[in-house]
Amino acid sequence: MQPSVKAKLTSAGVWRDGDFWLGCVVFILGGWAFIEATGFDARSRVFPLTLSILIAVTGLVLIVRPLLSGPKPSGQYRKLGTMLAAAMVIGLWAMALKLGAGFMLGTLFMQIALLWLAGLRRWSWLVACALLITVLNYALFVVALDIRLPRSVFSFLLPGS
Amino acid sequence: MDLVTLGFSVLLQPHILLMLVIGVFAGLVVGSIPGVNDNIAFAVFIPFSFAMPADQALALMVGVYCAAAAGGAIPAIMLRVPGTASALITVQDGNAMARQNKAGKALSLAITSSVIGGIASSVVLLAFAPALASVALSFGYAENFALTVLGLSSVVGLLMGNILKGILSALIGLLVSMVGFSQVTGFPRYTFGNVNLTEGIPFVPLLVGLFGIAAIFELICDIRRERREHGKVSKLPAIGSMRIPASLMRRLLPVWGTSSAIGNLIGVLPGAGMLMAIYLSYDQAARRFRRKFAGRKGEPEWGDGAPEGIAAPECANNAVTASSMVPLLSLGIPGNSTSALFIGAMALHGLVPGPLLFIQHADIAWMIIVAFFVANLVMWPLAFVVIRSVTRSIFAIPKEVMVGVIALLCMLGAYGDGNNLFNIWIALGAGVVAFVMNLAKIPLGPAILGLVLGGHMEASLANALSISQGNWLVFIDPSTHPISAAMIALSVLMWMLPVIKHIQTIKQRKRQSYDRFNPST
Repeated sequence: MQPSVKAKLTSAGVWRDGDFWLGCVVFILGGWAFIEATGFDARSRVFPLTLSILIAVTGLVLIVRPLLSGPKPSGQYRKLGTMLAAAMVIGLWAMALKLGAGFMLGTLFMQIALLWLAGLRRWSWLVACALLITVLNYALFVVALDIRLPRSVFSFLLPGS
Repeated sequence: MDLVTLGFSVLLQPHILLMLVIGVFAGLVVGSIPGVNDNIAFAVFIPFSFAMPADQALALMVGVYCAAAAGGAIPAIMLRVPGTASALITVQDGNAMARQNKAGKALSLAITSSVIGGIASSVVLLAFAPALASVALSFGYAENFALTVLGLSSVVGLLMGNILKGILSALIGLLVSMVGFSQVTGFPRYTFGNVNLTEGIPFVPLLVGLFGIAAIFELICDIRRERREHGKVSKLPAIGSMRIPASLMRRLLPVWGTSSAIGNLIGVLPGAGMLMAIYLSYDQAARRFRRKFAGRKGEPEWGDGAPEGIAAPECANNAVTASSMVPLLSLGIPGNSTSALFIGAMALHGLVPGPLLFIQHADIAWMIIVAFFVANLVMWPLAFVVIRSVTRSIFAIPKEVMVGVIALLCMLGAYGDGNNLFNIWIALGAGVVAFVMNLAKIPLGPAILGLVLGGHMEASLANALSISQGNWLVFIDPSTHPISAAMIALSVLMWMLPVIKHIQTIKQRKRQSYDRFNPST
């Protein structure tokens, strides 16, 4: 027998449904886009306003759906931790470049961290691979393709290094 | 004909032809690396095109694009790991055939099928793109708006999974395209006062992030999962003879014909993607195999080394490559996600795909078209060289090292587009968003279409309404705008298809449950 809608609404576990949380994020995104769009001039706001309403409505549907049809817990979201760690490594590298820590040093540490995250554990291999990748990329982008890296404290040794 | 000659005259200049050959070789090599998909291959090569003239850069990218799709079959057959998403199905029969000591034959079949599919699609590109572009030149604002609606609707109609998430993806893409100065009044929108965002989110770093960085995150997760499951790579099978008997070639002719047709048809539809073409052609080949060859003496089971199981998907995936450029080059609408990356490669050199490309840069437009044809011809012998010479070395590179290499190439590629650190943040943010979208099973294709079409859609809508003095019926008026009306009607039909399908499924379920409870009636 099919459980009633009311019974399903009270069913536990909806918090573990990825789509429920996705719906919340999407609804907030739509709401934020709507509020921002109200500050635009009359002709520029029509399209973003329409889009933001549609996004918020889609978010609402995503929130309500697991409540009506029963939650579907997903283990996929566990991968988020690994992704966030890798994103943080790249983010720190970008900050190091901005602060003038230099390409060579920053990239070497970024490579070591990424390779370690990917599962390489032998330190000699880690450092050798990271050094090789860093030097080859420097040669390719800075020497061959003439890409100007941000100024760094080591620029007196090599440009952008 | 003169224009085709123009294309060949540009392409056959030694340095441009050399770039095409390098692109094909590099595409085959990168495509052969397990876990590196077509999009990463493309995203990695965008930075290399910075310092080149437009013609050389685009010849390189055409080579990479064509060859990466074909190269993915090599690890699929040898390692049972698809090099690219396009080789997902080839794994089944390809690896089974390799394990029967016929790896050479399987590889040869895959490459030959890819070349046949690729040549067929380059002929479609040659025939249709310029014709469609000349029609598109007569489009006014109403038609342009209807075209963008049709482009987005085609995605909805073709989504195989969750339609709501497909729509959400398109909406997010459209919203992101709103960032920057309004094309209607010049008002800055969603820029947070940041000067880097006034002209919109930089396209190249955005694409590098959506495809390259997100793929790195996926690759790290995959490696960690494999380590947890203690998966060990089995010993490589011997390649052996790569000759395909003439009788097998004759037998596969209908499969190649059907798969090429399916690949081309799907390819020209915006947003349809390669996978749909591969699955449809694989299904067709399976039906034919079961009807004609299953159970015969010496014939393998379907999925256990049937030659059709390699020929159909490989032919279809390369049939999509050039045909997906038809809507891109003629209308500015990408046929699939990888061809969307092509927009980024063109944008780096100040080129905008669309009908005007054939007028303002006819030499480049025709060079790209004929390059697809030549790339497939060059690919055939080069693929055999790659298989015989570098394949084993490629498989020896640890995946972990590839993570570091690809991450840095993508980041420096994003930075190199204007030497701006802000681009790295854009690429990183886009990578995180794309990864989360993938986790939440939100398809990326519609978002790319939304991104590409958003500004165009809004400007066309505003201008059409301004000219018609706010008359919304202008888009469906068959007397003044018949093309627009037809495109809107087609869009409505595409939106209705999933709804009709859903209603049919509900009716069928109801009928089944009624029959279960009333067996006597």
